Amino acid sequence: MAGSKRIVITGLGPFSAIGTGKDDVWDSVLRKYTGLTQEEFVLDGKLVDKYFVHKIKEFNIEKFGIDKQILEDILRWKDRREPQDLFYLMAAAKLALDDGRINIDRNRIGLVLAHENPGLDEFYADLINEFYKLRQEDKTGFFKGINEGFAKRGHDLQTFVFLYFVAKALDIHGYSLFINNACASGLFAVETGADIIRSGKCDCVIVAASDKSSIFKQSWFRRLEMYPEDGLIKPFAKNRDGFVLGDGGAGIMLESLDSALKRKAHIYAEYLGGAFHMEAWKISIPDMGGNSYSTVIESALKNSAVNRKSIDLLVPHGVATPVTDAYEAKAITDVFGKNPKKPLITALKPYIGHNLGSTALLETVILLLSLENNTIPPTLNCQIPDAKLNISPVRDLIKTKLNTVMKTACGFAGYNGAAVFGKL
Amino acid sequence: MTPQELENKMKELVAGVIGMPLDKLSGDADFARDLDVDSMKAIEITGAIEKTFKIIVPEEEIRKIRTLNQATALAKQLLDIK
Repeated sequence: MAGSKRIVITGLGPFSAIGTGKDDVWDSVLRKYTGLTQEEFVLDGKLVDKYFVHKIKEFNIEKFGIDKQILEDILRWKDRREPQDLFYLMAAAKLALDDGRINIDRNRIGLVLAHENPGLDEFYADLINEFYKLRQEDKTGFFKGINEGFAKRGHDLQTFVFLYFVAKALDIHGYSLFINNACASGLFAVETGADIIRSGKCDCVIVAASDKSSIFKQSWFRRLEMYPEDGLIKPFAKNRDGFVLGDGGAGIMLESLDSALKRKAHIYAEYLGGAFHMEAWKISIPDMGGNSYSTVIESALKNSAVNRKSIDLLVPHGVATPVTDAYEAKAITDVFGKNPKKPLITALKPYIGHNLGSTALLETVILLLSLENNTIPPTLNCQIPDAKLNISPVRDLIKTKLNTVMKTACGFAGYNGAAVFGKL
Repeated sequence: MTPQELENKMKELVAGVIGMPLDKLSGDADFARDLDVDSMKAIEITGAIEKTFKIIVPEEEIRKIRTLNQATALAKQLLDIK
């Protein structure tokens, strides 16, 4: 393959309840620190609900080195309301940009952002407050009140606005796109970023994603019976019963191998290739009788020209719901055989929670740190693996030479993806 | 298709997916409690119903299907067979 078409990772920028930046996050993973806490949702002094979450307790965008004038410009545009999803995305992108230490023509740097519902939580919360204030109004008064307060804010939910502000803050002016493929968004975004470089549009692309927990998201997953009342995510365990959410995000700097070699950048890994599919059967239920996911894993091996026996480590979605873990285990064992000795498998959500639209990217970053450090963190909370699944996640930390690794993701609506990374 | 034909077809279909002889499959046996059929198989049954009868089973109904009789009633409703 021509040098200019090979894609490498030259910057990593994770942040979550367990830390900010690659060193902090990796250190917490090694210490098995999870940041799990119980959140109370209080309205007018009355406790409405309690739920577990991997919570970022303090987040301050000013600590990420963004130009203060730009932050002020954003706050003016937002009528002084802090746009948390926008700031999370900005932080993720900035961490990756800083880690990559790139200094090339900013018109040759692209931007791909991924998020499932940017800005929606704050919009929803403020809308409820506004409804309450207007409850005595007639229909005309109600319309006027809502229209006046929310017309611009509704417009601001459009994803181009997020791209605009992040690009402005980071002084990035190349090709840009916004991605939403549910929980698999992170992997779709990596492939999209790689395509932008492969096509010659850019030499480097910042891929960033984020998500933040909220009572609204929490309530929905509880209604779907995907929430564990003890707060513990137990991937592939016999007693698995769902997931809790996790705040955070991640950025990755993708770059052409030529560009990275030219500027002598630190190269974490090469993105060898991936495969993607849209099952499109149901929103919240995977097609247990289908073969979409196993085909994606097979195709990712083919597209990356890697033999299945060469995959040292696989990080699955590992969402710990009875159905999706079974769906995922079936796909993995269809490709690698039952109870495979290789690849080793470890699931990372118990460390960071389910980061929704950013989960695949955040876990990819931790996987790449695992690759770089030749260390496999154990799957926490999986005390008794479900024998029916025929896979046994790593349960004690392993130090071993790692060369080639795979990340898989299966999102709502059947967005299935698999990506392969290797050391140069 | 008559109601009886649908009932027979549904019984064959469910028995096939869960791997159980037709004569042992009772219409009101609870998949999980009585037949040791997990929720994954219940989803497979839904997929098979959709493919066989060319219908779309609403997502919210899938988690409610616990017996052959419930699955048959839903298929009748979706196919408008009385």
